[in-house]
Amino acid sequence: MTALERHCRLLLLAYPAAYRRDRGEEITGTLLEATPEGRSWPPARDIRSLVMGGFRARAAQNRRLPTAANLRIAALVGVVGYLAFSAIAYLWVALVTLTAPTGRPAGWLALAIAALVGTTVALAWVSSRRGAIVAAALPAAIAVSLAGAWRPAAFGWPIIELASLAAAVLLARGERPGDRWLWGVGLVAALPLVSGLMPGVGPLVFGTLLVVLGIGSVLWVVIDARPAIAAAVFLLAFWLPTGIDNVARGAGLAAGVPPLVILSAVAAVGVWRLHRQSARLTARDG
Amino acid sequence: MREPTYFVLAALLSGPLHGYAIIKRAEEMSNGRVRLATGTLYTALDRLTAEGCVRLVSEELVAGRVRRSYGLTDEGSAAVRAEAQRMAEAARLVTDGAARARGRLGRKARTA
Repeated sequence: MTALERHCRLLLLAYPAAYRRDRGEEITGTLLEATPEGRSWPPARDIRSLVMGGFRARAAQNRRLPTAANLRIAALVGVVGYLAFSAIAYLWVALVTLTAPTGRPAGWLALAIAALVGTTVALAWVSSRRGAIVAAALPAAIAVSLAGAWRPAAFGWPIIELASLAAAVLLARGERPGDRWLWGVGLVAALPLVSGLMPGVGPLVFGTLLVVLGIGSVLWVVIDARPAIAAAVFLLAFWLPTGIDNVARGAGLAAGVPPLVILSAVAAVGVWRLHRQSARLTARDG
Repeated sequence: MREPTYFVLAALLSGPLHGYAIIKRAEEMSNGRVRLATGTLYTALDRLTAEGCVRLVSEELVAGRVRRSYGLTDEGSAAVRAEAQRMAEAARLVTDGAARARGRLGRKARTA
């Protein structure tokens, strides 16, 4: 493979994977013919048009679904991301607790929650059988409630986890998000490990990754508003437990107003953009 | 109709062509003024195919790669001809106006 062909394939990454599978070879052939001999990169105008064309093709992906279906997919990604994050956090707690000399029962409970929530997440992502998702979510909800009873001072987490499990059951129907969302879900799921495995700098890396994820998804709104809505759902679920616990302690909601306003603004702009990016249909999905 | 779209359709008036041949044909037709960028060409082809103005005519393997040829549909042919007519009428507003102005100036010069 020549350097020019390698660079052409690199530029084609701007297009969605399905589009590349269908048209990638054809566009590469045209680019190779259109590029003057001896060059290792296509002309600048071809580079610009490919990148813009790729972004347009990505934006066009939403247009086959109506707003409600796109919104449901975005919310499902956010909820599944949060549950995957919780499952990994419980797994980390289980590993730490089970290797410590005391606290074995709490460790086994955390391990059970990690397994049950993880199973619910996997089923909500791929399965179209509502019964199977409910069968995994119910024991997960019971285990989460038990863990909540174990730590009565911090009941915000179990409340949001129960709400997220219920949301995953309700949202897991019709069109699914597709594998291209997995890297985002994987990234947020890995956050508890980043924090746990890097004592000292972990929280800084954790916070930086969250900010990068948030800013990246907000910038991506121009092309596809769904990641911003998913990020807002995830961050809201991430922030709400602390907010609930603060209110329960009588600390009030004042400190939580700025994040709530920012997340609401991101979600509102995302929904507005999504409506413009979606199909003008009402019959399909919903 | 945007210029790249017009030239893609106009290039296909003479018969089905593959991607690079459309770029070359548009360049020839415009005396080198219009050089379609590859991304622009395929964005236009996608849209025109979805609108029913262009259709896939044939697929062949060239040097191990798929090469697709595209042709005009009746709708595409009608759309490019209607656009050409519209532009010709718009051009006449200027060229005829200029001719009339030249005629008036000539008459004034003769009577002076």
